[in-house]
Amino acid sequence: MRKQLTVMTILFLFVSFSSFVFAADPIRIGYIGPLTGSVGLLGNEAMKGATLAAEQINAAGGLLGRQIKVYAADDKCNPAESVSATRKIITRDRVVATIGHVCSSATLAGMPINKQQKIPHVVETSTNPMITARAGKGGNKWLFRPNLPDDINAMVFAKMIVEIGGPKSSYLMVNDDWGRGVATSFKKVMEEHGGKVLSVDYYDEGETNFMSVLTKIKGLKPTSLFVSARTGSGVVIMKQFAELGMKMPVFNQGDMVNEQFVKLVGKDVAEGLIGSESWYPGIDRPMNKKFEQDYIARWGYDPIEPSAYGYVGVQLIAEAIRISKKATPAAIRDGLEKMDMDTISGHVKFDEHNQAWTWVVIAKITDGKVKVVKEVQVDRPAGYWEKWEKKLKK
Amino acid sequence: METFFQLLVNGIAFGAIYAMVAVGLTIVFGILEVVNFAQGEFYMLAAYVTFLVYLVQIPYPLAIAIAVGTMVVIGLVVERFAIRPLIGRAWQLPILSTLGISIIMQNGAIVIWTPNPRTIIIDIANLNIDIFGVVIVFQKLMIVFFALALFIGLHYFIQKTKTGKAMRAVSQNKEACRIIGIDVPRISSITFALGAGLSGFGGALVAPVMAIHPVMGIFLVLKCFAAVIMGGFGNIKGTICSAFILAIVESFAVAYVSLQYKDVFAFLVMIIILLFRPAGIFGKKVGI
Amino acid sequence: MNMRISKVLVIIAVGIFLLGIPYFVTSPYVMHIIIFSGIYIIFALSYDIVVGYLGMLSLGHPAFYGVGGYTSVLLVMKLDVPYVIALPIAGILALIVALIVGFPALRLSYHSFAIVTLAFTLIMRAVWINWVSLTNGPMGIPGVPRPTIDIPFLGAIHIETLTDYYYFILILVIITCLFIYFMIHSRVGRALLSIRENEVLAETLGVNAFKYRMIAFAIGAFFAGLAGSFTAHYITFMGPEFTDFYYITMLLIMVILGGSGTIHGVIIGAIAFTFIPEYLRITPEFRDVIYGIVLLITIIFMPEGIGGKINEIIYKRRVKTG
Repeated sequence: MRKQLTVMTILFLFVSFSSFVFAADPIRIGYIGPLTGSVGLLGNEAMKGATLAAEQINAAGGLLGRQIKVYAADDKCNPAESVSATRKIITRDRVVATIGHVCSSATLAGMPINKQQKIPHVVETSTNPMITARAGKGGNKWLFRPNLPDDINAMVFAKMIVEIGGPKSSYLMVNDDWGRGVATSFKKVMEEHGGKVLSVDYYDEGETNFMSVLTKIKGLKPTSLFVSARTGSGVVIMKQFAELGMKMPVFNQGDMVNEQFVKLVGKDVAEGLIGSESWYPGIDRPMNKKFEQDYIARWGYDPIEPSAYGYVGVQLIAEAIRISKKATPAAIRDGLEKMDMDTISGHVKFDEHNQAWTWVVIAKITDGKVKVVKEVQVDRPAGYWEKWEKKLKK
Repeated sequence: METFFQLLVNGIAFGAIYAMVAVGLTIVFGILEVVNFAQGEFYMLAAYVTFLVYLVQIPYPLAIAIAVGTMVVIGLVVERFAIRPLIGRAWQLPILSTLGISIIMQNGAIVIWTPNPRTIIIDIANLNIDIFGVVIVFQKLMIVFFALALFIGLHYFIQKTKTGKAMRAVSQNKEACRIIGIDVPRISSITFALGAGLSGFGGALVAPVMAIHPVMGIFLVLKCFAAVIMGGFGNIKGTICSAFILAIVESFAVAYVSLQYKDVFAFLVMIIILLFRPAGIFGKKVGI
Repeated sequence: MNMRISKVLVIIAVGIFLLGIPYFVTSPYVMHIIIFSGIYIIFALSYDIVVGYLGMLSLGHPAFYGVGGYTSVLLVMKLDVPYVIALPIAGILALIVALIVGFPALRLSYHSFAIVTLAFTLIMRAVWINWVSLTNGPMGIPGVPRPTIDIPFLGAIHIETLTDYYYFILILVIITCLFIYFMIHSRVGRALLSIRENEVLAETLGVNAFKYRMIAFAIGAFFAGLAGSFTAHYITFMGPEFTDFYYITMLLIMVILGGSGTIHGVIIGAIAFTFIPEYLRITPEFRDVIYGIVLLITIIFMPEGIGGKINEIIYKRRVKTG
């Protein structure tokens, strides 16, 4: 046992010193996100996108004559772990900026640390409106978000569900911050457009038995089904949906509209799925085509949504450094404020709450392939922040 | 009415899956007095093995056999190295060791296969059979059929064969068995392998109708614990009945009450039963 | 006499060391891990009351941690209760919940107890996720205020910096250790040990096993509740993730490897397993695999843990020197 303790102590000292000894030149950027657990796939994909962006910048000569390097920390989609991970990556890896977080609860818990340590953070995946309501003017000036909040996405997509899918809809949502947020904002918009929500059911991540709830939904006879699900649960839902011989159109918020998913459930089952995101493969622009090719060349398979967001996150930090010509945290923050850049997930320019107003992309699975139906550029609705500021005060 | 029967059918199909895994748990408990937290992981691993074997074009029935065989072997190894050395020491040690194995297997699966789900697509398995609007896929019919066949086989094995009789004897009194010359370690191995095999059979059968992922076992096994406790630890018939009851209650509760409290229903049923009958509905039979 | 002086000197040295930590640890990250070690010491020690002294495998401990966290967060944020009052209430509510759960559960067999407490954790989790109007559901409660301690005539102490939090958790850790130390050396502790070793014998000697089990289970929950409350006000966020099953694995490793039924062992286990995962530079899945292997090896080869081994060595030396 004594020997084991010695080994542990040596290992411990080695690790803590190694981070000081090998301190060198590169510009350090941190990725914080879930690398394990039920949403671990999303964090790992985002990290791959971020790595690709860094490698491309380095291959093109780096930034200010320096290379950039991306470090990763696991927030496990858990607020307490998120705080540890943020502190770890800021202190130990001495990063000048961080990107990441998939789960909104992890973002909300990690945000104050970024503010306290004065390190800018770009949230590229979490969509809870509360995040940017707390950022920018009168709040956390160190946090920026290039993708749209749930309620804005709903304004476009929920309207479309009523238009294409008919007036009566049933919801099947994942029971977490994201699923609940999506349900609330979509229901509101659908009802404004004359739609009716017949039922809202929440399932826990990891659920394998959707037969009963789908049977119930089948009995209600809605004209469309709206599902918020990531790949794992999405597969089971769609399989059991087909098993019960259900035929209504399915709309998805999450990770069901991609070719990996088609392979998992089979072409027949996935056919006709419609989803909305800030990015989908197959957007017809040279920049997007290049990203998809490069991603496949680097990692050997198709990118999914978080891969693109991680890629954009690093690009934004790099652009901020280019703008302010300095790679210090404060300079990057100033650079982000001045951001005005085209990315693969839309045009990014941050407003006073550090929220960018990009686009909503709608895609449909047709003949086993993802087809982009349209991109809708979004403008900020009048009185949007006032509404959230009021809610925050309460 | 259609909805009612559909819910009943759904409940029965899931009850068969719960029962297969739960029976494995209850046998291991009845004979070794070990709560096997790794039982769900055998189910998960078997599904993965089926997937891998099916990937190399081996026909599905053979894939099931290979998956079950692999689980039996893994079960034997686990029993030999992580359970047997702990028998007769503090009661919580074997439980903790199975918990350790469960963590290793689950995260090992994530390391090897990533958390991304896998699926097997077999056309015949997904064939819908429609009886007056109540639908069931062919594979689920098979699951129920095999589960029942397996339970009948198990009953005869335990009641009629020499090994089965020895197992019953060991569950009553280990010391006495040792004295009369029953090879207790051998029985313990067989029991654990049998438990792993049953769970593996469940995993191999559900592979074509479920998503295969590293945490598929842990969610299932929690319900199976409830079934085992309700049935009276170590009581096979009680466990089977409880598994079906739980699944059917769950099926109706989800449709008529709420999906988000699904797990709560099963556990509440369990706790309420324990309040009134601490040894389970069917009473605790020390033997199996 | 000599023995006693050296003991006092050791205590003074350790005291100075502990008080001085914020002065020689400059890295905020290391400070953060030290604070978390403090949380885990309380959490693991309270768990050890149940696992080590009571000898029952409870899988319900994260639920008490969560009860504590939610109670104090809701009291402070919704009812403006001062933190000094909310903290003990958090512990007491966890204690009351433990009494309610323990009343049926502690009458069951050992194995049923383990699974019923597991079910309890899952039920509590479901309640927190789904009772959105109270707990804000899975969105969690952001912006939990940092603690303010009002002292009459002296004004308020605002706990804000890592150093403040460090001293605060240090006080809580010392209170917990002293409480548990005196508890196990009291009548309650002796009764618990007698029940753990031989319940039938203890009962025949007039020890009411059920009563003492309830006491131990409730005290364990009380301290878990305190740890939960502190964590929520330190992270400044409260959500249902606080009851993740992951915490059970962590606690078990800390307690079992550290040495269940020993205070110093559990403290070593808690500190070691807060630091090691932070510094282990391998992919997290591998880390969990390694946790599993560590747990397994400990159980098979050294079930008494580090603390037990130390006790054994001290005992042997004492026997040798007479």
